[in-house]
Amino acid sequence: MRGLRWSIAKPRHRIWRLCWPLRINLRDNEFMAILPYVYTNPAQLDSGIQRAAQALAPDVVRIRYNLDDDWTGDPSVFFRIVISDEAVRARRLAETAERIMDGIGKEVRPEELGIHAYYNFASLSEVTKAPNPAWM
Amino acid sequence: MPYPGDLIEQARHLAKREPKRPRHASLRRSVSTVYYAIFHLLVSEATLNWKRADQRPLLARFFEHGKMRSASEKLRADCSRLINSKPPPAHGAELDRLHHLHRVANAFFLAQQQRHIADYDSARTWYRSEVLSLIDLVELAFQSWRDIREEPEAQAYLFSLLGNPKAN
Repeated sequence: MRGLRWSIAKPRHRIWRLCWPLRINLRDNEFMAILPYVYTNPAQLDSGIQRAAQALAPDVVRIRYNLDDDWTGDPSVFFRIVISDEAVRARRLAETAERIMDGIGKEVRPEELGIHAYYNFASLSEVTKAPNPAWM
Repeated sequence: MPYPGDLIEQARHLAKREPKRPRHASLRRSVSTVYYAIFHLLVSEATLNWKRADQRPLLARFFEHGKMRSASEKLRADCSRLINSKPPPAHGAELDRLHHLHRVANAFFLAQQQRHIADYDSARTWYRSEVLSLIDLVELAFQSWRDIREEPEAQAYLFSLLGNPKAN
């Protein structure tokens, strides 16, 4: 797959079980951990997010993210997007959300990084009223 | 199909149940409910193709969350690749269908992950607008589905939800 790079490491001990969020392949009684390149080098992701945030301002106030496995164990990026109250009020929320997902998808291209993208949206007033470090 | 639509209404009711300070239990149940709205929409649409109506509920039990996720993930990636291809596809009915299909598959994919977090990650806190945006996305997917449900690509998607016949 074009644009997809992988980092490979061989953990020495059985502690591999704790090596979240690595994907483990079993072969010849050895353990090989494979994870997308972006997990160890998120610079490409960061620059894409920065471009997306600029392009989507002022509706998008800020974009936060973390890399983690999804419920099936696939490597994923979880976006937390704070949107302005004006954007929430002015249009239907889903249309705003779709436009933002599309904008981030074009700039970040998560599928080319070998990760799935998940999106969460919250309004600025809610995040301000009940601050959560993950969203700040 | 009144049942999946009712679940959306119930999800919205739960999300707005406490006007000032929403309870986390309400928001979590709302997320879970809206996932099951789109899950049951797709399963009921798929089983409608089965001629014997009395066997449809039994057939519905053969659908698995993981396989439905894989099919939706593949479809949303394929649609996204086509929509963003260079040169872009010409405007028209075909592009509209792609957008509708992408919307449905994407809403399913997102809602399923959110439902998993809502049901199993007790450390996670939720904002009401997070939940409402998910409900809106699913509701929009319902509208898109109504527009394309008879299209061959939509019917192929329903079939793919059963999984890959060559897989173990």
